[in-house]
Amino acid sequence: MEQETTYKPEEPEMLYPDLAYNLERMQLEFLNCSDIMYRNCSIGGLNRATLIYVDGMCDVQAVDEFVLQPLIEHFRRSSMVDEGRAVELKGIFIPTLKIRIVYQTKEVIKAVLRGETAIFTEGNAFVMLADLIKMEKRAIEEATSEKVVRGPRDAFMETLRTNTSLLRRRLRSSKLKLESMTLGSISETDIVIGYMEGIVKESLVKEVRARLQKIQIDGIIHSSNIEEFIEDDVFSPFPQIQNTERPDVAVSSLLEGKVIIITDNTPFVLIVPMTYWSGLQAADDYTDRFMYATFVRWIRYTFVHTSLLLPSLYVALTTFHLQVIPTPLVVSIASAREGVPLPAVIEALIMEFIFEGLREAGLRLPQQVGPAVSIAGALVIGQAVVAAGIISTPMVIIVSLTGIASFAFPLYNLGAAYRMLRFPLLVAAGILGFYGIVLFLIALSVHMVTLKPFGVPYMAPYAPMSTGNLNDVLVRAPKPRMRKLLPWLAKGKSERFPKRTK
Amino acid sequence: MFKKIIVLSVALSLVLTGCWDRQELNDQAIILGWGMDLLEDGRYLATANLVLPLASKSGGQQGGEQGGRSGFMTESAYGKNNRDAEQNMQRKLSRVLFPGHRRNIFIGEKLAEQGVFSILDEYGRSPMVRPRANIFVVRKGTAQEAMSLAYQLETNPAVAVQKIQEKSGAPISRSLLDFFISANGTGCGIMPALTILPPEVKIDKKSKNDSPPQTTLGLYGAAVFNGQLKLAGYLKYDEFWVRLWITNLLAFRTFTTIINAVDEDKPGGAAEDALSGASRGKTVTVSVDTFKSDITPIFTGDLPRFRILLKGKGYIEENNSPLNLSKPANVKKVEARMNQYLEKEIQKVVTKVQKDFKCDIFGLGDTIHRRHPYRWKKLSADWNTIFPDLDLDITVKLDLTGTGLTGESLLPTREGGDK
Repeated sequence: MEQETTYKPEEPEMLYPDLAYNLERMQLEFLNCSDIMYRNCSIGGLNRATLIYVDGMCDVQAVDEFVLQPLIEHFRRSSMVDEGRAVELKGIFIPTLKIRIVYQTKEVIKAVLRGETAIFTEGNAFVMLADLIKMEKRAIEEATSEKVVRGPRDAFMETLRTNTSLLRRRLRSSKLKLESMTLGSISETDIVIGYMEGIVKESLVKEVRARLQKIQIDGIIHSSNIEEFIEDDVFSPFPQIQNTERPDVAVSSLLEGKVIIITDNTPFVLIVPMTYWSGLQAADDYTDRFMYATFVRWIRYTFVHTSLLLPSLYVALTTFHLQVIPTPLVVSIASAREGVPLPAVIEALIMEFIFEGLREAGLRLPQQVGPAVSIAGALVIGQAVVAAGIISTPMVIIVSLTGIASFAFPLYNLGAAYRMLRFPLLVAAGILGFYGIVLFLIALSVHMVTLKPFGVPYMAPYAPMSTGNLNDVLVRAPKPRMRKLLPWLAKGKSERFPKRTK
Repeated sequence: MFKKIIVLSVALSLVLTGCWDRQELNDQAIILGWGMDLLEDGRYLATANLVLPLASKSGGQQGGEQGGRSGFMTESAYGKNNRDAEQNMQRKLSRVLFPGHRRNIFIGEKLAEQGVFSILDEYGRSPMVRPRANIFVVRKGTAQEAMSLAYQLETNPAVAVQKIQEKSGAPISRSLLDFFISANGTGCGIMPALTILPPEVKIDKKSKNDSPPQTTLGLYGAAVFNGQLKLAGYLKYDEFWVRLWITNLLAFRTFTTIINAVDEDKPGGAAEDALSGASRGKTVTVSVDTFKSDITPIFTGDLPRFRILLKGKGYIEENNSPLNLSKPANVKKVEARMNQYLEKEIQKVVTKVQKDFKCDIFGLGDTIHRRHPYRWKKLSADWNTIFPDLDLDITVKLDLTGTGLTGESLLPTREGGDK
């Protein structure tokens, strides 16, 4: 066997008719793999067949019923070793839906590791693979990172096929294409690229496929591994690939002409390409009435920009542009700041730093100790620091407001970008005041408009302007008005439905 | 690499500018009020009203009670002009003077008499000052006297006068700007005047917690400046609204007049019947909140005449006369009587301005400038000599739209009125 592989490495290694030899080969391959199970079927002291499967991935009951029992019965009837009767052998397992015959050793190994049950029979140079996989998996649960008030509750989960079925359930169209591929030289992770044929641009699908195929990695543990490999600009603070655990979000992205990437063992589906505005749209925007949705969207936009600007505006106002603040406010801020030893910039930096630390600690701590952090945080920061006169009260208000605002992002990693950018902006404001803020914002806007993930402008449809698509950006128009698809995404079909005639 | 070096050097150049404007809030002495006085020897005495942040803090924590210290301090210094005095004041102060919130400027009467021309420039030149500030003349006093006075209702007297001025029906926080504008127009200026008002009746404090009326700051009216920007005289509190009405700036005002007993509610009486020369009788008060003025210059020869139509809309707030206001005819009577009274009052003030001050503070010259720019070219040079003899035809048209909550008085009978 080893001789053969060295002799002709190009030619795939084949199985032998000798059962004992095949078994030896398998045992060598799965040496020290305690989860690989062997089940021999000995009739009359002669081992006539062996089943190999991975413990915990095999549907034991089904194998018992549909494989083992018919097999033993068959062997009892025909005591002789039958050669070349593959068809007959296969015939006895008719109750099993997925059964195939394989001749190559490597394929058998792969199939066993995927969870299929391999049936080796004496005298046959092939293996029958019964696809009776039953892995432990959790039930479909509610999305935890994107909650909605109204709308579907189901979320993606770790199992790839469940995820694809969640999509197929919603899009009963043969136009929904789910291309499969395997990534990771060791992990052999299944990946599915999904897109709507007829809506999506072929060039986009081709680009996604090409970028995915280019990935050389040992193992894909999470979809974020893929994300960083196929991103356009890794050194940008902004995420350029959207992730979601909501099938409805994935489906609506598909209908917009985007491409989704489903990774096995990850409940987060990637959506490419992402635009800045799609990161600020929440699923609830589309379930609420449009006026309320627009109102909430404006609140969100306000908070989003508050989270970036508020501390630096405060610092710039109180240390550079005092005349801009209304007089009574200046007097009360001045009296609150009286006796505070630190300059406003340092004060803000310290408080923002502590807040981020609290957030991180609250996230990492085991659930049972979680309240301890919030109590300590609230007491230390909210109470003691002000009482001791180290930090002024307005600063505590500013920091907590900023903190709340930074959680108003529908997309967590876009919020993280802004949360991080707050610090350099704070330094710029502390050095140059409004001038520094404006400089920083100019640089930031330049960066944002130059981002083009997968060829689609990041700030579209505002920069470059596409007037037909503005009804889902600053406002959320009634659904009959949201007809147009982004021209950068849609191929020929730029309208989702014909214009309503009354 | 080259790009990186450029980015790095640009980033560093921001840090290395060396001219940071950063000034911590607690290193600045916020000026809320600024006063200028002229002394006998020709020097200026500047007074600054500064916020005391510590005092306002302790005051706030004790729930509104004055925590031993007042919320402001006054500091003063001599100087040749505003900036010089400011520098001289700085040697007494641990914090940098910050004039960005200087919203109230006080001018002593003596300085106003000598002319404010020499000190006003700084209030518009320095980038730190706000143009929307109030400027006041302190009648019969110095700026320092007015600014040192504690004001009970507000923590700071400078804030108090600003609010008083806002409540007088005049435009809010723009008397400095208006002064600049009018000085550039007809050459005359007008600004609100303050005065120190002792209580009408003095009462002694009997126990520690008593609060009898005290000497306080109040609005006197308006100070009129002539072409040389010297003080020409004052319009009193019941006169200064005339100028505001004519220049279309008045926001609200209450007028009280007497309705003669003769004008009682005769059935079928015409509105003109009410005008039988009321000199004694019962009062009626009208509150007017919409004012409009219409100035039309009429040229018959070289010199213009003016037709000034003053309109107003308001309602009756108090009626002590026997008139039954539930009848519209009686409201018309009040209206007619009020028009007559206001015309007389306005005529009186206008004559005073024309004859005594000889300053066109009503913006009549500006009206000609706008309507007849070529004629104004000829007239502008000696407008100040023309103005006192101008013929002004003043008409008041009040429109009373309501009588308050009741028409007829809630009181049972009125002497002489119908039952």
